[in-house]
Amino acid sequence: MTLSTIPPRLPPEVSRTGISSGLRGMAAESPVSLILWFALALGAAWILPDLISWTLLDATWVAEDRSGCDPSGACWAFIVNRLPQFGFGFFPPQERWRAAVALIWPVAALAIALGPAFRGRSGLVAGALAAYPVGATLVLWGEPLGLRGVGTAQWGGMTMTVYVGTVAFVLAFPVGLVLALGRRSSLPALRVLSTVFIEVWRGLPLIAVLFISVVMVPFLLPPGTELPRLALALVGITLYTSSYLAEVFRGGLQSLGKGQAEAAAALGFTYWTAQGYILIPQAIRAVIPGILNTVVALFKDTTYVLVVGLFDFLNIVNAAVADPHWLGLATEGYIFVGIVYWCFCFLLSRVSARIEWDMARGAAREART
Amino acid sequence: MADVVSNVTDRGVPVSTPSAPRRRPRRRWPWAALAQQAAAIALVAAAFAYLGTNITRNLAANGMTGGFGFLWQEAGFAMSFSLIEMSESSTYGRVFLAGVLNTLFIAGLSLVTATVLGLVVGFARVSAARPLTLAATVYVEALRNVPMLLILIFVQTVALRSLPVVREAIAIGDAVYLSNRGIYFPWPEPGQDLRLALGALVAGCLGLVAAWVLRPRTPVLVRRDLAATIAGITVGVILLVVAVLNVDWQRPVFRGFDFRGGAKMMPEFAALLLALTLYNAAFIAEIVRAGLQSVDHGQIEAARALGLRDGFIQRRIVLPQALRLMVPPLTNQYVHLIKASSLATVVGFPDLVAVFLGTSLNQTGRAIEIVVMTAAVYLTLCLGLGALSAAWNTRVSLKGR
Repeated sequence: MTLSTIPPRLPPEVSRTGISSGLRGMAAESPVSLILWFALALGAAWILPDLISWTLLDATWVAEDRSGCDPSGACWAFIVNRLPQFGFGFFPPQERWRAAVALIWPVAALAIALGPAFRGRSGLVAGALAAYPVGATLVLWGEPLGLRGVGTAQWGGMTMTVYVGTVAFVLAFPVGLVLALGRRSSLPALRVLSTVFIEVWRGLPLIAVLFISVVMVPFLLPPGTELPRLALALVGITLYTSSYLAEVFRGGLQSLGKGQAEAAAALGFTYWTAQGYILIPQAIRAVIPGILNTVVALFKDTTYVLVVGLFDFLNIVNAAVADPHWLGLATEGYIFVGIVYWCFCFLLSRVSARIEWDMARGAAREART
Repeated sequence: MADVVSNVTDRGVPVSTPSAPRRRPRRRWPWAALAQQAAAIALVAAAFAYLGTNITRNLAANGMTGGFGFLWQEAGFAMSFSLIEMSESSTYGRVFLAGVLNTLFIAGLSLVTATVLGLVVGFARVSAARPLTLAATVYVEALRNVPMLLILIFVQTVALRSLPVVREAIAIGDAVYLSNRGIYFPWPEPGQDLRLALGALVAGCLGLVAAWVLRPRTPVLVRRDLAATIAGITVGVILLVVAVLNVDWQRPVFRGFDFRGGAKMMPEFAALLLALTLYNAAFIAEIVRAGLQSVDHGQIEAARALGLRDGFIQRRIVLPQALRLMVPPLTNQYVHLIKASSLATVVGFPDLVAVFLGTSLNQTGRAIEIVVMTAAVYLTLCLGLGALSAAWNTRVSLKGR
């Protein structure tokens, strides 16, 4: 490696004609391109003034009900009035701080994970996330902590979305890891069991999974057991997510190559110590972008819980646009929902792309030295 | 020397791992491995046995019976859309069949439209014309980062409901009418003999396929190939025109309170089709872009140095290599699309999940049978598609080296 005399490969010159030769010659200066720019500018000039006056200039931000809104602009007062409900669902107003804790907990963990590094950061983030399913359930429910009990029927809004997404992710993580190890195991029985499990859950639509878990899980429990719908839906989403995570982890384990496992075995590591200290940490590091992509998909998929009657962020806006005091404001409501989802998903997908890019650069540097 | 040459041509093209046929030496498993597997199987069997007894006890407690006999019972509800004859006296078995066909119909149709739109947007994203790139990027980034369910609900409640009422429907060339009650379009007059038209349609399609198979494959045009292709296209197009003209089309006409004649696309169906198309096209466009950009630029430069025309380079050098990388993620996206078509439940289109896993299950209470049948349909579709893609992948992947 060090004796190599072949000069490093230079990046290729950026081609102006591009790869799509069907559009060959449409360089930035070509007449066709100019016409397209002109058409784009014309479209923008046609739409933008109306759009800006509707969303901002003629919009009403404060009003008591629909009649207080200027009909020529957007009625953002609807969103402003309902913001606590969109955030915390039907939580009793004096207990909303608990919903806020459950809402901010994973967001703060994510912010710490993406922020500047410090000693013990990964331990803190992992601990905070691992404690979330039990911790957030206790805080929201409240009864075991001696607080006022709030039933799952009153949970909702963004709190519900974040709760469902985080709990499903945290519970699915270890299950997915075990399934991935099982699928790569040298023991055929384990391999077949894991593969069947993964493929069945991945092959079903999440809507069907939710229906099935709400209908079937009560049959599977000992007679007389009653679980809230939220818990039943969580079982389904967790199993569904775990099979997707298992495939991500499997990709990571496969990318390591045989050398790592063989070297560990040569040093006297057993199967589990080799997995725990050498293979799994590297595999997870290698698939962080894949994990983040799964999180984005999971966050978008939590909207499906509306089919089993849970009021997540989208469904609570759905219910609010049917309010007779604010009738006919579906456009404003759904635009608001769209912007919130878009910001979160775009941010996470950028982070994922950034990590991927950093890792590719690191790999290229290692390959050179 | 040979090594160097192969390295150069290989550069940048991801080579799939060579799968050399390897004979694993037969060895006996140590007892520990057998014990572990037996323990795993025993654990799973115990779990199944426990859940099974719970199921039987729960069924007995609710006074429910099992079995597939309900499939021959009358369902007693009508479906707003079906490809086969359905009425309230149809059986649950027929409801299942109609649901499967509806799911295949909406999934198949949106698969085609999403692929076409995705290809257009994907090519626009890598085109040299920057306004196109900009527009395509905005489209992809805007749609990829919102839930598909939101797009669906938005299309249904905001876009389609803002269409005019039937009386003031938007007319497109006196043949297609858009209204908030649905989209009306011409349809063959019922009761006429369509055999000739269908025959011409099939023959025309065969002609076009033949033209595609016989298309010139060399950079130097061979006159015989070209003649065959042109003849194939001409005959195909003429036959298709004959097929269309041979049918008595019935146009929708507004009479009284609604349109008469022609056919109508339900707003639920239109919303689902539109949402599935728009959302999945954004992902397909990304797959197309990644595939096209993964082809090493050296390939294009080498082809230009050989004097090949750009259209030829695109078709015969860039696309085949890009396609090899595009097919696995594309299949994945198709599986996503098929699964997402079950969102039909939300807008009220009667797909398999809505009429079978929803209504039929509520009415009969045969949870296990219905769940197993529904799961079997989706698993067959999704795993089948995956198996097809894997087979294609092994056929086209670079061999050996």
